[in-house]
Amino acid sequence: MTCVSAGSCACGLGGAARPALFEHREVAPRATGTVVLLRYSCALAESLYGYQMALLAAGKRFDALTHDFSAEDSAFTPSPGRLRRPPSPRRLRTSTFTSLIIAPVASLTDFDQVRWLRERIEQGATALVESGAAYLTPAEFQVQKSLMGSEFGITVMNPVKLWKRDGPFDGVPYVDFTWPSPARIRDFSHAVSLAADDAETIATQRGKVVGIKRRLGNGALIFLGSPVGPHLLTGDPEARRWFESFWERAIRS
Amino acid sequence: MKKSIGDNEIPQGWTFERGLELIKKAGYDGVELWLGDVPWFQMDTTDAQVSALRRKVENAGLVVSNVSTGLHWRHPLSARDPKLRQEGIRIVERQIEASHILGTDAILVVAGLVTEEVPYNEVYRRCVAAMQELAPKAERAGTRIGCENCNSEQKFLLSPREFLQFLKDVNEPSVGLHLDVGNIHDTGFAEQWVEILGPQITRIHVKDSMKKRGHCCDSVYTNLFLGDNNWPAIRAALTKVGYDGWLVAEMERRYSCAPDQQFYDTAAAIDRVISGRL
Repeated sequence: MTCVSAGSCACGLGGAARPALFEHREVAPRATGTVVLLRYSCALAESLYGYQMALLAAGKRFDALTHDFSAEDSAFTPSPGRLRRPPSPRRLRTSTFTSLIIAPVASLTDFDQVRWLRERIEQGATALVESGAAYLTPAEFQVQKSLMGSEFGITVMNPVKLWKRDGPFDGVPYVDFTWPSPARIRDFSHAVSLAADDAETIATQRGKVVGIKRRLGNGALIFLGSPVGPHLLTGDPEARRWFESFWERAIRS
Repeated sequence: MKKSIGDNEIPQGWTFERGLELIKKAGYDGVELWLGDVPWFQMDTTDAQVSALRRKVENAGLVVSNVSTGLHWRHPLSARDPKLRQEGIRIVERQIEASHILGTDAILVVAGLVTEEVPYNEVYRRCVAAMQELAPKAERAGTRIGCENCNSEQKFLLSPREFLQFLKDVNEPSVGLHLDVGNIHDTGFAEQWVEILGPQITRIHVKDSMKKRGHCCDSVYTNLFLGDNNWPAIRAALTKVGYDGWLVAEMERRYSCAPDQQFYDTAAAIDRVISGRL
């Protein structure tokens, strides 16, 4: 892993009450651990940079897990590493506990990567994963769909284009979040509907579920069918507030 | 100042050579070539073919004033889809390459489109990033990228101060403003754009606009002196900032017959602007 920032880590518990999400959790909350931003699986660089900017702006310490541990991609270009061979799971294993994993607009088409993610969650990490379905080829999407079903028990529907060119204007298709705090955030042109047993709905778009939260082992998976990262990059206040609130919940668990 | 007109104004069905002959005869000094808008200059036109276009222009006694394109309306640099955005970048790169071959030092780019779907903040960021990516390429080719003010159509960079801030954020000397004095409509005054952005102006499109039209079905655009632009004020502002470059005619084809007459009338009107007899 390559540490791209060494800001102060705002992950101390400080005696705060345990968030409601994890009330049923048996294990003691862990105050230390690394925060990992998954670069290697990112299919839309804007989302990655959005989270990166939000973390840096808030002075959070995080590690950016790159595909080949190389320097930064140039801004706003699709991640060139998306279709390259992923790193070996052994290389991804770290000795330190991972407390938060953010996978912006993730391709998640490689079994080893997905298994690595699952293991980290089961060990107690919280993972925020954005679907990259809208940026995959149909074949890649089928692989993602299958892996999300087999590894996480999540059904991922085909991405739907939210803006129609014909017909009357029927409003901005905002995404309404209910967790960890209420927020209304702009769409990003496409959305993916989701379904899973034992999952809590945390975001909807025109009544369709596009965000869920699911416990896995000692950790939790938050899966979004509409990305927040690009809106963090543009400075959308609702998106920033939502992410701040998410950070507080996730890192304190 | 020198006069130019777009090759996309050449009447349909005419050849490039015939159009150049008309442009010369009407008194223009140069021609603006529109990548993708005319059959003779497309994205797949080879370097050799572009060189041939230059020879034809020079044989007609003209020069190429600048390279423009309307392709960014379909392939915006501000698109959410990275693939579409990359196509937009490739179009600008081809304009830069072509401008070098054609012996001119300016291109026109419609930098971004704000839509209901793609909001302003996204468009702004992507356009700044795209310009910063393209600027070194333009500089190497000895070309300046002129981002056009398409105020009403783009819904982007609507005031001269906003445009100035955009150029400051891009912070590249090879990126400037391709000012269209007819595009400002009722969002401001062309002469104030000239005053505020004078040194950053790469080229100027000239046409007139009618402030009381354009909100329904009628086009807002019209020929020089038929609309609401304050031409004496624009001319004074050009003198004030020392602009001595190209005035490029860009009108809608308004003449229902004798389409060549629009070339002559426009050339005469531009002459009046240049001479200040307004």
